[in-house]
Amino acid sequence: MPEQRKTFHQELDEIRDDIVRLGALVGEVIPRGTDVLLTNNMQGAQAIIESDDELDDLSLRIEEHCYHVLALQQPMASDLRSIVTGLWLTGELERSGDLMVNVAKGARRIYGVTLDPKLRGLIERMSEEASRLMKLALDAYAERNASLGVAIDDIDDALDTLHGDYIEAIFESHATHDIGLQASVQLALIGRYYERIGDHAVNIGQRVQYMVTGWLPEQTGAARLVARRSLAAEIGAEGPASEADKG
Amino acid sequence: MRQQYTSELEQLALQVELMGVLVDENLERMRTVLHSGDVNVAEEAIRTDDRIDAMNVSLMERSYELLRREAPVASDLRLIVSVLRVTAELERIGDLALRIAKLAPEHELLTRVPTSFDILETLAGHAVAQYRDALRCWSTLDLALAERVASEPEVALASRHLVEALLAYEGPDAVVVALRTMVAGQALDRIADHSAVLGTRVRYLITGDPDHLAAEVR
Amino acid sequence: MSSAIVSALISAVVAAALATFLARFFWNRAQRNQVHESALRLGLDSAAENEFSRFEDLLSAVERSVRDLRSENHESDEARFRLQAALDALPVAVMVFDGEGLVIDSNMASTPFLEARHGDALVGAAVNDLVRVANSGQDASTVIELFGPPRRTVVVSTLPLPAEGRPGVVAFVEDITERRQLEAIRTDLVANISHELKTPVGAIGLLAETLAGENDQVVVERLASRIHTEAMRIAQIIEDLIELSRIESIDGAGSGTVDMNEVAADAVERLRAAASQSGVEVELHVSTTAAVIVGERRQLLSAIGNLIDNAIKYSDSGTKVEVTVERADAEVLVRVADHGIGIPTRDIDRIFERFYRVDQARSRKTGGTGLGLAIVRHAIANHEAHIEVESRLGEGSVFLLRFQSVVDDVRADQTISSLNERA
Repeated sequence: MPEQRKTFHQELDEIRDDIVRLGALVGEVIPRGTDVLLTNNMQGAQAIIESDDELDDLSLRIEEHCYHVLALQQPMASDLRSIVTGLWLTGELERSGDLMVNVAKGARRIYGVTLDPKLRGLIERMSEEASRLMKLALDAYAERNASLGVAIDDIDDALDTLHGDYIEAIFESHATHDIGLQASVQLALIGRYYERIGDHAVNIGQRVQYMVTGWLPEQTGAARLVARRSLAAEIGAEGPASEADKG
Repeated sequence: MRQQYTSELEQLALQVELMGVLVDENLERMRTVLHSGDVNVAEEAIRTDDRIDAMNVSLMERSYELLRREAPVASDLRLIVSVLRVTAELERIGDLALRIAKLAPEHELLTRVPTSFDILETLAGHAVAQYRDALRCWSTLDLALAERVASEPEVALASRHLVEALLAYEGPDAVVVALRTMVAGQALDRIADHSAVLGTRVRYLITGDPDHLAAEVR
Repeated sequence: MSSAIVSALISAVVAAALATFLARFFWNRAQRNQVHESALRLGLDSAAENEFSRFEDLLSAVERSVRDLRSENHESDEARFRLQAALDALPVAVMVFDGEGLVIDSNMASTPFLEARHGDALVGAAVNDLVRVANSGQDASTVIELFGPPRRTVVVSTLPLPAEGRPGVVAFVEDITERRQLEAIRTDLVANISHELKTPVGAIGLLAETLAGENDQVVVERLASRIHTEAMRIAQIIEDLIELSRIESIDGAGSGTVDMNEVAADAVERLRAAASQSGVEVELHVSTTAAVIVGERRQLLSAIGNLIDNAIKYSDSGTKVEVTVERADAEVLVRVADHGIGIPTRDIDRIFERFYRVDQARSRKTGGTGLGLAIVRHAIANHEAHIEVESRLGEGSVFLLRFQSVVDDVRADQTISSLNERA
């Protein structure tokens, strides 16, 4: 790190850029892992398992950076939210990366098993859906777009539906003896990893909503009232900001 | 002034523990619902979850207030940020417990395949035990226990058996039985998973070692 | 940046002029020398030969210089603008960094990598890493494979810039996806042709050898029929290769008019036998109005025939292939839909390459040559039409051809339909 002291906003920008980069690594590893799975590519699987270290290193660096900024600076309320959101997001992203490592490991376990086109198609679609959700979540974060952040929860339904179809397809293939028991089990587990990536994207969306508006989905009724009051106080202290007047 | 701050921090840590106890109660309700499909208990769990959410929100606000007002450093900073992260995990565990409780009306589907139902109950027992260890870490700040909770291996073996049992079932409702059972199984897996993350958070709170920052859980 | 220098110079000159103005009342030899020297220092050319005997002389010299400076600056602005426009026209991203690793200049193509997201953010990060290397005096370069979607291959390279006292780095980002693909197609083609022809030729050789020593009439008949099949296969490949090169060599599609309803019906009719043999039903829905386009009937028949042929080959027995001709605004749409094995998303861009097959084993069985879609692509390109593919593994594929319809004909139809309405 250069000797001269960075400004607070430079630090915040760096954290944001690093999270965007971490998100990009996750966004890449999703289609990459799926490709490895569908093409029986053992070297590719190994490469994914190894490349996870890069992801882990980066998330560790971001977390340290967040702590560093919290300790050395005295951020204002909205900046505080950004930093703590950063801490949360790295966790979600890092674990999404771990899930694709699990997919790669699963690919190794079912090496040599021929998957029928329907199963392959569903795996492809689950992967596309998971990476689309992750990209939207990252867009919401980078653009500070709260409404996009919340919308991800609804978009995630498509992935849940696909997952249902997928389990059904596994049953069919297993019933017709196209795939054996062990492969079926592995495939079922692999499907859940994609679904969980979707869940992580939903969490990121909610965190983004909180970062921007100071409002959490679990804040209902009276709690919402309290939040609105404190937001009003914050606006009073920090000058003009947009009021999120939700009913 | 300083003394007030110190007692506020103690209060904060204590409140987290109380929130943890509420979650614990709901995990117990989840187990009851899983065992018997009792709809009343499920409704009680839903009500309690609102309280858990409210506590999460109030703890979060207090943490932010302390961060802003006191600009804490070193171990105080670690404590407050840990509160933020731990409450998020607790809230998530509460949600997952609720996901299972909400299966109460379809409970019969879960019992359709006896082997997989057994495995679900075993998974539930494991998840609750894992959670209790994690909560104990928080209240006692026991590093050895935190290390153990953090490194608890994923219960992949049990969920593998779960899928095996489901695939062996050949009833006309096999797919819907499998889907519901897998929803429950996955939620239980993830309760254990989030408990392990709780362990890593406490470990960092105790040691302050940057290497303990990331929640590397497989 | 240069305008700052100009204004600094102008203020310096004005300050000097002001000082001289004050000195006007005390004009003496010594002071005159002093003015002369400061004029030299300001770089006023005329100061060397002219002595500024009068204050006015100095003032007009200053004026002249400022004017020169301004026009020079104007020229350099123009040069800079031209340079920037040239850089912006480049398909390669060019970025110039200072010694601290901050961007000082960039062209249009580099916009996606500055403040980027998703895959581009990784390229941006690689640029920053390599700039650091180049700032320590080393050239650096790396190839990044992005899975996207879309899949891309990108080369990032950095060079230290020679500049006295002021370190800097230039970085380039180039998308080489297409080039890579073309290279792969070219090298694959030769290997593929020889492979495709060698396999049946080798089979014929072996079969003939066995045949020579065979006395059993039943076996002889079976071997002979296998030889016949393999020979037909070679004939088919050669025929397709000829058709492909014929279509490739044609530029355009002539000026005749063709009714796609008829072409589709003709193509379906020709493949009726093949379809019923594999238990696939081909359904034809033609448009209720004429679907006339400008084109060459033979190419179009070949294109649509190949699409239907493929659809039949990749369908399971008992499923349906639908061929639809439709008129939409100024377009004629031909759709061939099947419920077959589908195409993996990552392969959709490749299916129009020669000898590409989704399922190698199946294609061998059904006797596909791997050239059909290449023929389709060229025929469609010759008609300046578009082809769209939608496919899902396990669910089937839809190929949609969009042709420009003959405009006069549209009017004629409208007249007819309005007449019908009135009737």
